[in-house]
Amino acid sequence: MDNTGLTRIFTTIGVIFGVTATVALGIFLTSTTSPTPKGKASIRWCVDPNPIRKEQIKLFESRHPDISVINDPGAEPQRLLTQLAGDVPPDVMALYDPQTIRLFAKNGVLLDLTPYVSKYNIAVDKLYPALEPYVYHEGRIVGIPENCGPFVVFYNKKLFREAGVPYPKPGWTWEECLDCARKLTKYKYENSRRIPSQKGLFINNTDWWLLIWMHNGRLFSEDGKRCLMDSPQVKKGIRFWADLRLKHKVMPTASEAQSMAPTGAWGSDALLFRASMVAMTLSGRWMSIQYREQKDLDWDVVSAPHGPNRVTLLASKAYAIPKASPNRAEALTFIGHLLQRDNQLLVSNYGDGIPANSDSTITKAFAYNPDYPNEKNNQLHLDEMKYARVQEFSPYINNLDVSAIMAVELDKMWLQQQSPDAACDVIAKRINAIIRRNLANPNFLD
Amino acid sequence: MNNAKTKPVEKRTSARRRETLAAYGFLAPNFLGFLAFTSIPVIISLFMSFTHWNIFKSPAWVGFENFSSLLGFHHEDARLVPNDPFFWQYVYNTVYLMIGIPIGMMGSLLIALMMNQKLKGIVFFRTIYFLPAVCSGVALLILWKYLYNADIGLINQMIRSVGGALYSSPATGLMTTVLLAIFFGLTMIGCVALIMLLVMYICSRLGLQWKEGIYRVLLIAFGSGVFIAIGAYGGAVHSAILSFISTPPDWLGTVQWAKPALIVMGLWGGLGGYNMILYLAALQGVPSSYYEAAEIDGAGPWAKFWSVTWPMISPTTFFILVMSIIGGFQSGFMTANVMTGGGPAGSTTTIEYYLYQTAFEKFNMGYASTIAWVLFGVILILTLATWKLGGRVVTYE
Repeated sequence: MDNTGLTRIFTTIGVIFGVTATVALGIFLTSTTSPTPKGKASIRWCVDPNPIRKEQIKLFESRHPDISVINDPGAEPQRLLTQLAGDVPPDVMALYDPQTIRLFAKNGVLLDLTPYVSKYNIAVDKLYPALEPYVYHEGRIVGIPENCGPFVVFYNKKLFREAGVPYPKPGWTWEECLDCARKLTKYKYENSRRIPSQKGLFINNTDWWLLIWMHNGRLFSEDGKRCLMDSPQVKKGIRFWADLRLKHKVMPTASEAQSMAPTGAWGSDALLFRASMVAMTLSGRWMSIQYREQKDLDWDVVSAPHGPNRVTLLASKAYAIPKASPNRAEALTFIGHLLQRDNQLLVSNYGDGIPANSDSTITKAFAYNPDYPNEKNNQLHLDEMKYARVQEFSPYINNLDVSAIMAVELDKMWLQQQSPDAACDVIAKRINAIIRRNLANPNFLD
Repeated sequence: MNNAKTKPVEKRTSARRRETLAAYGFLAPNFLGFLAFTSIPVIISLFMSFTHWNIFKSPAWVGFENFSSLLGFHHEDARLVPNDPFFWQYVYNTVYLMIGIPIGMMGSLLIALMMNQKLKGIVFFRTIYFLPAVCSGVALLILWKYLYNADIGLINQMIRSVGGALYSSPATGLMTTVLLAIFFGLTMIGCVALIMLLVMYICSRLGLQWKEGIYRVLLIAFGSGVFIAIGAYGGAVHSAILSFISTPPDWLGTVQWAKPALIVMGLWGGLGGYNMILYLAALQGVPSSYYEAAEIDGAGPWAKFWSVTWPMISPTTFFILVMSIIGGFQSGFMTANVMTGGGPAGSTTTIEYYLYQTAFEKFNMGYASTIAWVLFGVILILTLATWKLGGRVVTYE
């Protein structure tokens, strides 16, 4: 046999082997993708990979042995959109802000849960009224929040004691807070350089809402067609916020914050607080997960300070079911379970917010957790729900456009390249220009 | 007789056909992949640039609306303002960051010249200089983020400690100020001289007349001007240096310093990277007989470089320049995403990062496609211009 003949034989064998291997691999992968035993439905739950999810799944599966849940970690809108566009939708997905919920609902992606409320025992009537933007879209129920968190002030009791400052009391004002923060701000000298060793207060750059609301300011008009950032009420709030950092110097600058606890990641404020670099920080109950880890950290919570208006920011997330979910009934069962007592207490006792279900049997059990006897002020989180408000959005401008404009112009304010009033004027002008364009051309509306 | 002649011809023809078929067979998978994952999406993106598409719904035709929103201007309070001010700010940022390209190219050439020496252990040095190119980009960015930290960063700590030591006594302080002023003055003169040399070189390649006398007069006038200015503002120079040393800049936290800081960081990683390897290969490809001939003609090291090395490596320089311009316009995503978040005040956001935000954070695929096509247009025009100019300056053997 010559070389050509041998080559042909080897080529044929190679092709047959390649095709067989590919087919075999395909069959193997197809048969192993669904680990669900026969007769048992499986739902895919797209949500952040919090360690508590495993416990939640365990609890649900113990109540519903015929349904298994797979935690698909991550629920970023990009991820969800790709899955939806690829026709492999999750069964239950987390949506983290009201505008995303509106975007998904408006584009017909979300299942209207209204007809299923009674059949699947979804306790919508027990949800706090402040959570409405996470629940309804044009009168239809599209999302179910599992937990939430009104912003409160976490304070380091040890630093208060050392500075001889009395612990703050619920219902305190911003003036009182500023007074405390001044007393709790300390400096040290390093090679004759005066650098801050401790700051009184920390507020994240994106959590300025309550400062404008306290002066009865609003970011958008009621109909969402105008940005009111240039209104005197909003300017007053932004001026106060800027003064905390630039005039009174009780809040660390971005650069100081990074030097005190170098990280650019989520939770840098938690690190500052955990390292006793800031005495007070404005945040939600989810931070207690981190603070509990630090055994020597003596902390407590107090209500968010108020101005002329008593108000605080509310954060939550809602679970929704895509219309195209292949396991609708099971997904509805799961959603209904999320608002049940056991699950509500499991999640909130873990520290990830407070129960979204305001039923008294749940809130009573939440108010005191014997596993964490030092946390005596849990009731405060519940009480703050009276003043809690979800951040505003306009249906006529993408939130990311708003954030981008805010970030750029407020950065200039922090760098003292423009005054707070000028920043407010520019922000209003730029946001209104986009709203006008979007209104003029509906193609630009989501 | 005829049969005997035609048989080998037939054999050859069928062998050629088989070879052709095999060639197409090998090309097909890549070509199909290119068609499916590159060509078709590129063509679709051109269509998308004329639509508004948020993925949920079918694309809605908006004509040139995206282009006018991106590139157009309108009157506001009797002032002409861009419809999308972000875009123009980010174009400026992208172009600013490209200042690093010529500096990087010069540095790469310098290092390649050093690495081209026949020294013991030169391979070790080549490896060291190439190391940043093979390190994880994200890890390096985080490292630089700490280096640039205003308070605890190594760079500022060094500035403070070295500056503090130098200015601990009036004598050393004064001497440092004078030396630094001379250094900055000479650097400025050097930069001007380099630009003038470049102009001279291009003029000579294009056959244009250049008056050397004018060049000298300009350089002397500029140099004198710089030193007179430094002398006149001696006090100001001294206090500026002192203030810089006592309060070094917040490199990534201020609009003025963020971009220069990123350029310096890019230079660190880029000098010894792939450009150095390309230059090294080009330098090793220059025949030694040319240098021998130049030596016989009495050429010194500078003359040898200018008359032999530089023209011989000009195709490589041209290639690096074109690729760097293309890369420069397509860069900035990782830095913005990992290191700066595009801030402060959007000063480190590039077109590439803006494109990503528009497409994958705002889901405005139509507008993002418009940005991509405008970017493509800019790159195409610049590449063609470079090609046109470069073709006249580059020497091909």
